[in-house]
Amino acid sequence: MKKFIIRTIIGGAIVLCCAIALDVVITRGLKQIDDFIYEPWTYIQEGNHQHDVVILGNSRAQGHIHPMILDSICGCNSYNLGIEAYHMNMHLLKYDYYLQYNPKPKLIVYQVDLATIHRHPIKRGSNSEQFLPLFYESYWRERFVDLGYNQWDLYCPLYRYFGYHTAIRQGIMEGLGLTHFCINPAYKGFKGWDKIMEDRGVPDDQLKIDMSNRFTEDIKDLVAFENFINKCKSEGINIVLVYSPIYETVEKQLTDRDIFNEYMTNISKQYDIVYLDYTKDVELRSNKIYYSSPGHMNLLGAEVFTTKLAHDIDSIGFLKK
Amino acid sequence: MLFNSFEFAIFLPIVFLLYWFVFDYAISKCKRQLLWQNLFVVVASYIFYGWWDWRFLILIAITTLLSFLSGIGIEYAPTQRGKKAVMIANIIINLGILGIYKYYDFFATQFARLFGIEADFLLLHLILPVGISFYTFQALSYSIDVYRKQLAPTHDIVAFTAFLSFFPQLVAGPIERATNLLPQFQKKRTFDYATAVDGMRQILWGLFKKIVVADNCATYVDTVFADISNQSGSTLLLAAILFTFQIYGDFSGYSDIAIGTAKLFGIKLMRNFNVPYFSRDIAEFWRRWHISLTTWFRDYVYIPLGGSRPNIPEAIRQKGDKALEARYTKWIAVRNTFVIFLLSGFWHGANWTFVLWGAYHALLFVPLLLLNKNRRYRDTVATITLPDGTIKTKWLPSLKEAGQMLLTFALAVFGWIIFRAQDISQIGEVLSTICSDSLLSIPWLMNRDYYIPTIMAIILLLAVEWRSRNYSHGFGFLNRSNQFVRIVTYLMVLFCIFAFGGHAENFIYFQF
Repeated sequence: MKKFIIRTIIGGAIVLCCAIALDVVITRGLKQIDDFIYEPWTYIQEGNHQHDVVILGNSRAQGHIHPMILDSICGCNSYNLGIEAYHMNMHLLKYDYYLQYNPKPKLIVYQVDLATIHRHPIKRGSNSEQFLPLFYESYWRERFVDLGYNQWDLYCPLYRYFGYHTAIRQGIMEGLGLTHFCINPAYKGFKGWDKIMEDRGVPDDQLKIDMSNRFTEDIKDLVAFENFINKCKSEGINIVLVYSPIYETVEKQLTDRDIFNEYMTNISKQYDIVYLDYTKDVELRSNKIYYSSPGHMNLLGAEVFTTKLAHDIDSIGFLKK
Repeated sequence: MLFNSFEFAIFLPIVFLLYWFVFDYAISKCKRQLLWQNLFVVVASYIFYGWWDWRFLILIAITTLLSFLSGIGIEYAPTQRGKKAVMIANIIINLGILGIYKYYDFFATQFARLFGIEADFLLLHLILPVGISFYTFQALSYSIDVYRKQLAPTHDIVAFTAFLSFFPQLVAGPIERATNLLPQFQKKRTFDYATAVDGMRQILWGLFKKIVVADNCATYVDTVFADISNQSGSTLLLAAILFTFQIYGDFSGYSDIAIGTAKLFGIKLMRNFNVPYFSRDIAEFWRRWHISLTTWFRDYVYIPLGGSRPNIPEAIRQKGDKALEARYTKWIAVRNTFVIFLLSGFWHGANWTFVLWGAYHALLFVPLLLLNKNRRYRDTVATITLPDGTIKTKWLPSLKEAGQMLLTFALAVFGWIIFRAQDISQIGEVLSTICSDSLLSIPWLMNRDYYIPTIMAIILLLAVEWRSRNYSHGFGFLNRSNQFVRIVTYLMVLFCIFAFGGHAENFIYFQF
């Protein structure tokens, strides 16, 4: 019995040491990868980036608002903090995390839509591997429990990596210096889509979007949103709320669109902030060639849209003060 | 509590240490040491089961109490008729509980459909208690064995409760016989280093089969079967093949973990799988697949029904016609075969697909039975028995053996399509798509970070099981390896479990 227990403990200790070492290698490796999943977080951590404009929102922020165009038209330095497949809670966390390392911007362009104020799971959600290298940071440790991760994820080496085959492979190879991954890198946080919806050949009447009945009735989310606006106002940061275009056939299907628009219009009046609704822009909404999917514009669409947006922001004059 | 969860990784060492140090060593001079140790097994087992849903502990307790009392009832009943009545009452009550929870809604729906009435008000919508089919059958085996005088009834309710609720095999078997397991709770267990180490190896191999093989296959299979109408024939065929490995990795992995865990506590459970995909015909497959259930049906249904050697009725015997007697014997054997396969299918769940799956296997089995070829392959494939009785394994099977194994495997794959389908119409849809032109198209594959590990894991599974087909489990051959090989193997397997493990899935057989 004694022999069995001693050997089991020694074996367990060896496994634990290997797990800790591997965790460090993978985490370090993932932070070195140049792609749109991990690189934006590493960039934020580098710190001291002085951006005049930061763009917040979900995939429709990340893939619709191109910082290069915004910079060239407005003469500013912008960065896209958009995060695909996540809702407002994560948008604000990412922005808050950005402020831990970087000075505050002059202007926030917040892309809002029906999916913005709508809760959905974080743990093992879409692209959730981007959070894996962040678990060593106390900032995230405190918050990840609220986001659905458990104590095992936080304190057990390697546990959080379980099932993420690609992240493990890439992390080991990059961490051991065997290769350098540079796949689909983002440009200043921007990551667009190059597909054209028309090429899919789906008739208009069959196009669908998973954004109906999304406007939350959870008062907590609305309060958090308004608290954020208040905080920005008190810190002298301007906010522009932007509702970027949706392909017209499916935009009409959105059952909550009127409630959402009314809410955003009221917010803009109440807090004296600008709300730009591009869902009514005929050129942007009706040109199928601008879309990669009904809710997402492709690179061409993003270019046209960002140009319009940049001119509108420029004309408001926030960045000239 | 799942075997592949971190809760279990904490639970097991705690229970192990308390079991041997507190309830064995520390109180070794206590007269009631065995009682306390068994009581501890019961408490641990109830915590293990209650972790899922404590309310269903009441059902296990009822089954335990009824079966325990039935044993005493059979002992004290003055007449044979009385003994039989007690046994039958116990069977009816236990099967009644099982029937209500597992089959009532199914029969109510069929009844409503038959008479064209609304089914909703007839349905109970009960949650199926995990493992109810397993522990119910275990409980039945006790009272039947006591009635048959194959086992003396126990008066020790603690040992009996430990027998029926022993946590490693409580929720998904092996379905133990009282004759094997109960006596082990009635005598002092001693710790054996070699057995415990072997148990740890079996647990490791079981985890590999479950987490790397089954869970990875499940990712593909679940995606494909969730949207059958949009899949090509080749994709569906690949999904069926992967499901064949998924269900094996899942269930035999569970059994390995259960048997290995039991070994840590000095308890020997029966083998449940014996390399079934290396079978040369379907009869051999059924001697190697879910052995504890197959032998249960053989011992408690097939043989009592007459098996393959029924009593010839007087009317036939008087005729003195041997050919007629042989025909009668065959007919009874065929009938009994159908009965146990249909029951075995229905045991898996209240769905016609399971019944059809049972019937399909019966149809494959019956020709072998009629030709007296169902017992052809009682040895392990590609082995030679030397004159001194030792068995030597060959590296590779002969061409004939390989062909037979491949054919049996293909037949099993076909059966698993029936088993996996949600309903009868889905079986037709899957089969018609597989038999269409799209079978020749390139199947859809997931991200290469999933399909490469899955294929590698299946190859490794087959290679290891082939290497150890004469051992009690996949890592049995490590007993003869040197320490370096063993340590490297352990670390590599642990790495595979971590790096290539699929998302944690429930064990398939929990639903049965």
